[in-house]
Amino acid sequence: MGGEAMFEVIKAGLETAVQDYPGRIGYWNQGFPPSGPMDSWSFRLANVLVGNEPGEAALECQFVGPELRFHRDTVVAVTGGDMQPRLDGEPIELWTSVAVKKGQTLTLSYARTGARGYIAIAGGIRTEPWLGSRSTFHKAGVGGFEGGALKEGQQVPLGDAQGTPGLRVKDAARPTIVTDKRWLVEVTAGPNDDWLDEAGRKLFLETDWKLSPKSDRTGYRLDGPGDRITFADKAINKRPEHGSIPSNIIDQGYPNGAVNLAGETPIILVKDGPSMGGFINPYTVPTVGFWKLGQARPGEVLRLTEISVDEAQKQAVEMTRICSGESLESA
Amino acid sequence: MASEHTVEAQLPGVFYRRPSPEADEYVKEGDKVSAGDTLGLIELMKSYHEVKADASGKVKKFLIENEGEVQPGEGIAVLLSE
Amino acid sequence: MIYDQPRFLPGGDRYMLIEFGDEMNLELNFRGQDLAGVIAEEKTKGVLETAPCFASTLIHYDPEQISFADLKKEMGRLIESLPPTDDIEMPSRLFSFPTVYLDPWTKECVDDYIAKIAKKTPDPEYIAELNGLEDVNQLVRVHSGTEYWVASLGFWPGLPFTMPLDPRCRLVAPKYNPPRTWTPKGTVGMGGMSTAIYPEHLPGGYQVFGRTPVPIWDTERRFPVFEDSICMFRPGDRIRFVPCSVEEFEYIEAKVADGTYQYNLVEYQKFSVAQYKDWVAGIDETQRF
Repeated sequence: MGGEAMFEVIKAGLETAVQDYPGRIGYWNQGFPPSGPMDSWSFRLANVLVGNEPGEAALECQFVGPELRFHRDTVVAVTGGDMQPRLDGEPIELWTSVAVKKGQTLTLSYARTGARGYIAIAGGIRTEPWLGSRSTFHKAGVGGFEGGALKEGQQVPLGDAQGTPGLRVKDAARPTIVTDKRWLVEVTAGPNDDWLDEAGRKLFLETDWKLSPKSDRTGYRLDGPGDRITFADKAINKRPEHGSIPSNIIDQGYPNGAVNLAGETPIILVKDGPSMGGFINPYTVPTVGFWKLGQARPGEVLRLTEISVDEAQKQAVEMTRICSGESLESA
Repeated sequence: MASEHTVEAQLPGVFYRRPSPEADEYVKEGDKVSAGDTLGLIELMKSYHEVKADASGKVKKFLIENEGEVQPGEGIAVLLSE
Repeated sequence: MIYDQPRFLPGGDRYMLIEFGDEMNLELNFRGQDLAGVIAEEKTKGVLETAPCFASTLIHYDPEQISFADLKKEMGRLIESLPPTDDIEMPSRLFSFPTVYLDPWTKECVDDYIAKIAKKTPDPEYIAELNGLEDVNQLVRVHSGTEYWVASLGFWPGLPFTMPLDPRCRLVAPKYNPPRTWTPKGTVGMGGMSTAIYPEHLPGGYQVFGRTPVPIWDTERRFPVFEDSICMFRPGDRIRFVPCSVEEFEYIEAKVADGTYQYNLVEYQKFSVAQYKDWVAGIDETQRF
C-alpha cells in the first residue's frame, strides 16, 4: 500500500496534459474552449478500465509520450494510438488495466499508430479544478497542472482508489485507428452550408483533404482546393458588415468541431479552438467523427462524409454505451 | 569495419534540412556528425522539433528530401560509423 | 434585415445556431443577449451553455436531454417572450483605452504577413481606401470618434466583439485571407463592421491598425477590474479608444508591469435604447469626422 499519492514526471513528452471529459463547459460566452481529450472514445475507455468514471481527469499524450514514476501502488491503463508503453522497460498491453508498484516507471514512446495515447490512473488525477474542470488549455496557460502541459520534475497528485488489474477492452469496442492514412470523418451540414452552392458543397465532400502540420489542439488546417470552393448568391451579394470575401459573415458563435472556412482555407475547430469569429462554418464534425481527428496525423487524408443530425445523435449515444463497463472482459 | 545506422523519425510531419529557408543545411551528405547533433527539423503541431543523430558517424545519405513528408518510424538519414 | 422568424441551424450533434437577422445593429444584439439571459434564468433543460454574438445565439445542448426539434420549439417560445428592446434601459460601464494608432508593432506584424504569407495593401491604407476616407489620419479620427458597444466575448477568453455606436464612424473591412499566424497582444483591429482588442499574442483575421498597453484579461487578477472574472468586459460595456503616443504607451506599459496602473472606467451611466434610437434618427451618417 501507499506512499504519497502522486506520480513524478521524469520526461514530459510532447505537450502531455491533464484533461477531463467533457471539459470546461459553461464559459463559451466568455471565450473559454471546452479543452478535454481530442479522442474521447479512447480517453473514456482508459478511465473505465481502471474503475474511474469515464470523464475523470487523465493524461493525453501527443505523438511522443512521457516517462512517469509512480510513488504509490496503483492500476493504470493506456489506450488510443500505440505509443509502445513499457513498465520498467517491459512492454505492457494497450487497452488493458495493469498493476503498478510504487517506484515503477511507465514509459511511452512515439506513436506507432495514431497520434494520441491516453493514460488513466485508478482514482484519477487530482489537480485543482479551474472554472469547473481539470482540463488543460495549454496556450492560454490555464487549467491542468500549474496551468499547462506537464513539465519534467513535477509531482502530480492522484486520487485514492483501488483499480482491478487484468481487465481488457473487447476488440469490438475499440476505435479503429487506420493504417492506410485515409480517414472517413462524419460531418453534418450546417450551420452555414447554404452559403455554398451545390458545386461548392460537392467539392467539400468529394475532396481528399490533407491534414497540415500547421494543426494543433486549436485548429486542424486542411490542405486542398480551398480556393476552388464556390458560393451561393447570399455569400456574394450581402451587406457590407459581413466583410467582402465570400466566406466572411457577421461574427457568430462557432460550434466546437465546426469546419470553418477561413478565407479559402478550411480549418476544423477542435478542443482548444475559438468560440466565435467571422467566417462561415458550412459543416460540423459531430461527436462520432471527432475522435478520429484526435488520431489523424499530419500528411494523412481526411475525407468528409455527410450524415444527418439524427444519425449523429444516435451514434453518439452508441459511443457513450460503448464507453462503459459493458465493453470490458477479463484479459 | 564500417556499419550503417539509420536515424528514424519519431514524429509525423514535414522534414526540413535547414533552420530557415535562407540558412545553410544543418549537415550535408558526407559530413561527420556526433550523437546529439541536429540533422533537421520536423514541423508538427505548429512548431518545429529537432531531429538529432542518435549515433556518431558520416552522413551517407538522407532518405527524406527537404520539405518531404515523414511518418514515425521512417528512416531520415543513414549514418556510416567506423 | 431582421428576420420575421429566427432561423434554427444545426451544428453537429450538440449545437444549434439561432440567427435573428443578417445585419449588425443593437436590436439584434439585444435579441441574442436577452435569449441567453432568459435561458440562464430559466435553466432550460438540456442547454449546457450559450454564445450570443451580434445577430445570433449559439446553443450548446445535450441531445440526450432534449431533441433538436424540442429545443427549437422551446427556443421559439422563449424568443416570443422577450421584451421589446425599446424598453431596455441598462447600466453600462464606459472604458477608455489609450491606443497608439498607426503604431510600429502592428505595422511590423502586417509587414511580416506580406513578406511571408500573402501580398496585400497595408491595413490602415486598405481600410481608408475601402471606406472612401481621405487618408489614414482620417481613419484615426473616424475610428476614435465613437464609443463602441461590447456585443459579446469570444474567439479567445475575454476578447470583445464591439460595434460603433455613432453611425458616422461606421467602417467596414474584409477579414484576412488567409488568416494571420500572429498578432501582437493588445492589437486593435476590425473585420466586417466589428472592432476587437486582442487579449494576447494570437493568430487573427481582422485588419489591424492600433495597439493598447492595457490588459483586458489577466489570469492572475492583479487589478480590481478582474475581481469578478479574469475577463474584464461584459456585454453592454462601452469602449472609447483614446489616441496616444508611443511614449505614453510605454509609460502605461511600465505602470501595468509594476501594478500601479489605474484602469479608466466610469460606472454612473445608463444606456437607454429608446434615447439612443432617437439620437441616431437625427444623425446624418454620411458626415464623417
